[in-house]
Amino acid sequence: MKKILLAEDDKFLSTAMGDKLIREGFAVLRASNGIDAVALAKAERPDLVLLDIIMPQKTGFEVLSELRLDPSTRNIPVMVLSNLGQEVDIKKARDLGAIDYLVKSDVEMKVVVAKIKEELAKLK
Amino acid sequence: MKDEESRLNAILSSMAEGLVAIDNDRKVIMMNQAAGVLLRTAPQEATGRDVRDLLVFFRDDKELPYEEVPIERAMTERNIISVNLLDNLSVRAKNGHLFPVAMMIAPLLTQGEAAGAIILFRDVTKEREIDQAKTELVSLASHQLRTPLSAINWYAEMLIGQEVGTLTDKQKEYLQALSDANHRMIELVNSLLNVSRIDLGTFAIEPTPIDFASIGKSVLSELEPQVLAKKLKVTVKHDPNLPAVSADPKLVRIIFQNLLSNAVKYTPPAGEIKLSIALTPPNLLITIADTGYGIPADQQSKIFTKLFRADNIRDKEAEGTGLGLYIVKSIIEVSGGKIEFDSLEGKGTTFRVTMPLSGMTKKVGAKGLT
Repeated sequence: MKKILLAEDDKFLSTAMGDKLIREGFAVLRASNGIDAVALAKAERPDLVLLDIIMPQKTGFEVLSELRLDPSTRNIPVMVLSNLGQEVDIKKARDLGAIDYLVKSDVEMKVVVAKIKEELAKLK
Repeated sequence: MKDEESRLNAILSSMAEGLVAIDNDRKVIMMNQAAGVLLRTAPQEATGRDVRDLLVFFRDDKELPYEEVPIERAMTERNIISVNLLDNLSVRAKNGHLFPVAMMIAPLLTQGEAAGAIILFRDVTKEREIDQAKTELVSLASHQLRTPLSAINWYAEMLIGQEVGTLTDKQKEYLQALSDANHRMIELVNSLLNVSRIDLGTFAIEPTPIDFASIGKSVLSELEPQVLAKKLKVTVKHDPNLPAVSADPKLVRIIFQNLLSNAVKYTPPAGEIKLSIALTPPNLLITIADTGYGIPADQQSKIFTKLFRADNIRDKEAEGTGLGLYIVKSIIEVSGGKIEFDSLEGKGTTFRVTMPLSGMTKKVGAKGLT
């Protein structure tokens, strides 16, 4: 079973996406702040990280750079799922190595799931 | 004579704004009290000194290159140069204190010959704080509003998809209505954000060579479900050799999106919509014509104002924010283009947009439009 780390501080969004991913057959690890997200990624080495940007303690950008610095997490694909939709934010995340950048209010969950599956299929 | 001079001096020294006059060699010929306070330099001490040592300009904590200094520009271009809050310039006072500045520089002419310049300036720390607070509020509001709206979207999607149990047709219909209303709310938030960026003058323009026809067609294909549902006849015509025009693709998309979705929204079933793009040097002419409800003659002067919606469509179409055409017009005008329309109630509306083939000018801004 593929493991997805869901880093999202909003409880309603975390529940929605987490439940959806479980129904789609994934194992879901949850972090509700940036520090936990980094720690969980290092301890559990998920197959993919779904990362929010505005989170307490550490922003998604900081999480991304830390994951890139550590050889054990460097190659885990990270997909940003945020409500910051500005060009500068997208570029910053891309430069830090995010494989995709989705805006929550514009994207359907089934699209997120399809993109995750597509990405994981590439890794095989 | 003496009286006049002392009256003039009294006026200058009572001014709240800093005033510095320089000659052609950039030497200070006079400086008033307020300028002295702002620059922490006594006016009599400043006389005869080079203005470049007194007024040192900074942008983002970096000293401004000589040729960009507004005083130099005013003198070489022989033009009045104004620097406002959005230019993001600061000046360093003698004691090292940097303050954000707004200024007006006018070349000083005597008998038509350049004789120096007059610099009028003030500290805009307070304005900058207010501007910052406003910008932060807008961006915070956008993020904070979108989060609960995303939650509603996602839960509705799972319920409508019957992922957690089957629904009756009525339940599905009501949930769909809830989801549609939520999408409108998201669009409204995006439009309000765009309007605030337009009003603040802070939106960015990033031109790149683009093909207007393909953007128009792609917007039309996004509207296909509504077009099919209303059985509208859509025709697209464009010159086969349209050149690529340097424009911001996001802004061009917003123009097409608003005008075409309006045409679809406000045309009754089985109506017709025509999009044409023609080369009419020095412009590109975009025409969007529909056989829709039209705009009542007495309201045509108001359609580009914020939050305005015509009476005849309010009851026909609940959707619509009254912000679209305001945004469209603002973008077109900033790009050096023009928008006009003809409309006859009950017959239809034709919008004509002319965009210069020379393209949009790059504008650095805090935020792009979405």
